[in-house]
Amino acid sequence: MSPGGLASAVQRALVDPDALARWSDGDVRHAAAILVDTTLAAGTEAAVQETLAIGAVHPHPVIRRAVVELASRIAGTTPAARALLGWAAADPDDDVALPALHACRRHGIAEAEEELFDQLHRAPSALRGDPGPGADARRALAAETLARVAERDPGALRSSLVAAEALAPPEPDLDGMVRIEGGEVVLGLDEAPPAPLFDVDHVVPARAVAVPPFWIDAAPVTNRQFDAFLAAVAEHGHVWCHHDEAPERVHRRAPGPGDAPVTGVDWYDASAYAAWAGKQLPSDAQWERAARGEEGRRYPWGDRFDAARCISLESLTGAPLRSRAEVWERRAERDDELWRAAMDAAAAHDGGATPEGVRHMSGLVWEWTRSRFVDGADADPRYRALDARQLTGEWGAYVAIRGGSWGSAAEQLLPAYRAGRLLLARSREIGFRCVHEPL
Amino acid sequence: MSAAHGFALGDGVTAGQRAWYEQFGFIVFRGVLSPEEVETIRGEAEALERRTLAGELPPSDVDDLTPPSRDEAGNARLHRLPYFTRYCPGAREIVHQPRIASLARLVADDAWMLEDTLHGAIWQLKRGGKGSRYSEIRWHIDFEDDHVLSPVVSAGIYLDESTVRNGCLAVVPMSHRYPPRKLPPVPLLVEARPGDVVCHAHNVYHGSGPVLAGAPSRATLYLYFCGGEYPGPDLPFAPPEHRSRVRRLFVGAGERGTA
Repeated sequence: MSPGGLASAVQRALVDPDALARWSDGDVRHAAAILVDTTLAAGTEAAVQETLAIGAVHPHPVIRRAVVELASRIAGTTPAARALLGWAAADPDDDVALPALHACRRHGIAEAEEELFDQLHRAPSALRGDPGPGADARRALAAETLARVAERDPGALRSSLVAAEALAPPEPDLDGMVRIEGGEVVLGLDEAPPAPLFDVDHVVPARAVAVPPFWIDAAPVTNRQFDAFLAAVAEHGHVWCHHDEAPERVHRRAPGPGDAPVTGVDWYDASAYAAWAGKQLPSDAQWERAARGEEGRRYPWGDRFDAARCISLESLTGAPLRSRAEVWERRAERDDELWRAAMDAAAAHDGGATPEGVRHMSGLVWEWTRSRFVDGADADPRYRALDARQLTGEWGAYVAIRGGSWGSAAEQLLPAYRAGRLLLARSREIGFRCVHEPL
Repeated sequence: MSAAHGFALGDGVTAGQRAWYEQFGFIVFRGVLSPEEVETIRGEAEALERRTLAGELPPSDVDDLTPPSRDEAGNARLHRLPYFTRYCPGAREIVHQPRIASLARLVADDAWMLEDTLHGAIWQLKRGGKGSRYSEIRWHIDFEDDHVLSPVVSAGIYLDESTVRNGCLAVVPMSHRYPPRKLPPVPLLVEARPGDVVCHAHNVYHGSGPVLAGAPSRATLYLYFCGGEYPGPDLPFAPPEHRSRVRRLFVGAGERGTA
C-alpha cells in the first residue's frame, strides 16, 4: 500500500471508534502516532487536510491532541494547520487546548484571534495585558498570544478585537455632568400635596436612605447624543445592549431637534445608551437626591411650585390647571403642538436648575430610572422569552420614571413622585439621563 | 430591609392606594399602629393563648388546623388564635377605628370585616425550634374566586419584626390577575416592622419561608374584609373535606430541617 493509501486507511479507521479499538488493540496512543506518521509520510495536502479535519472533531482527546501536535509541526507552512490550532485552543479538554495555545503563542497565530478572545471570555481588559483573575493557564496564554501578535503587527488583529476595544466601557465623559455629594438623604414627603388633580400618594411617607456620591448628567440625553450611540451600534452591533434585549431589536427614537431631549425610547434603549457612554441609569434614590438636594427641597429650585421654572402643561399653556378634565382638554388635539414647543424650548430654558446645576428635573420629560417600581430594587429583566404583550402581567417589568413631563400637572412634577411604566413603553413624554458612580 | 414600596395610611384608603392594590394585588402600609396599640394586641394574645390552653374556650373557637408546638422549655404554644376580636376587646377597638376599617375599601365600598364565623380575625404565630409545627406556609391563595366571602382583602397587622430570616411574607405581585405562564413566577419578599399592615388580595399567590434557626418568632393579626355574602355565624374555617388540604399548608421547622 502506498503511503497515501495507508494514511487514508488509517484515517477511515479512526473515524469509527469501534474500528479504532479493533485496529489498534485498544491502544489509542499507538493509533494516534500511526495517524501522524502516515499523514506525514503521505506528504500530500489532501492527507493533511483530512487528518486535520478528523482531529478537529474526533471524540477521543488523545487523537485530537496528536493532531494538534501535528499541526504545530507544520503550522509555519500550512494555513489549515494554523486554523486547526485556533480551533483546538477552545477545546474543552486542557490536554488538547493547552498544546494548541502554546503553538499559537509560539507561531504568533493571528488567525486564531476569535478563539483566543473567547478564551478571555471576550473581556476587552484582557487585551490590554491583564488575563484576569485566577490561575487559568488558558486565559494567560491567550492574553499573551494576542498581546504578542498585536506587538508584532497591530494591524493583524481584525474585527472582533476592534469591536472589543469599542465594547470596553469607556471612561465616562464628565463634561456635562454634575457631582452630587453622598450622605443620608430623605426620599418622599411627610405630607401629600393638598387637593391634587392626580393622586400622588406615592410621595408619602418620607424615609431616609444613604446614597454614596455620584455624578449625574446636568440635562437629559439629547437626540444628538443618542444618534451618536445609534451610529456606534450600526458600526459595531449591539455590543452594549442589555442581556434581556430582544435579538431583533432596532434602537430608535422619536424625531426632534438635535439639542432637544431624546424621547420615544424604551428602557432597553436607555440602558444600552448608558452602557455605551460608560454610565448607567440613575437609581430612584440618586435621581431624587439630585433633584431635591441635601435639604430635601420639594422642587429642584425650592419649596414652592413655579410654572416658569419648568416646562410643563401649565407653562406651555399659560394658565393654572383647575381640574383633571382641563388637563385633557388642553392636551386634546394639541399634544403634537405642545410636544414640539417643549422640545424647541428645552435647550435654552433654565430648567429650574438646582444649586448644583442639574436642569429639567421637574418637567420636560419623564426620565427612566434603573429601579423597579414595586420595590425600588435595580431592575433585572429576563423577559426576552415572553411575548411583549405578556409583560403587562410581570411586576418586575415596571420601572420607576421620575420628574413629570411637558404634559404633567404640578403635583406630578414633584421630584418625590414616582410613576411606573413598562420597560417597553415608548412615549414622547419619556426620556432619560445617566449617572456615573466613581469607584 | 426588603423595600416593597410602603404607603402611609392617613384618614383612610385613597384612590391611588386602591389603584396600586388592584394592579399588584397587595399593598404595604407603614406604621399604621402605634407601639402602644401593638403592645395591647400582644398582651391580649398572650392572655388568650393561656385561656385557650387552659380549656376555657368552646372547642368551636379553638384552632383545629395547626397542633400546638413545644417551646424550648417544653411548654405548649399555640400557632393560631381564631375569633381574636371576640375575646380581645382592646384589639377589637383598635381594628374598628375608621382608618383601619377603611382598608375594606380596597376591595369594595361596602365590604365587611369577618369576625364571628370562619375563624374571624386570626392571630398567627410562626416560630422556629424543633418543636415548631408552623414555621413556614406553602404557596397558596386565601380564597377561591367563587368562595362565598370573595372578593376578600387579607390585612395582616404585624406585631413583630418580619424579615427574611424569620420567614417574611412572599407574594407574587399581579398573580391575582395573570395566571402563571411559561416563566416561573418571581416572588417579592415583603419585610415589615411592628405596626405595619400588609394587605393582599384573596387570590394573589403567596406564602412565607421558614423561621431560620436562631431567628425570633413573629406574630401577625389577620383581618379579612369581605366583599361577598355573609354566610352565617360560627361556621368552621374549612369544610371537613378540605381540612387536610389546609393543614398541609403549614410546615413545621422540624419537617424542613430549619429548626
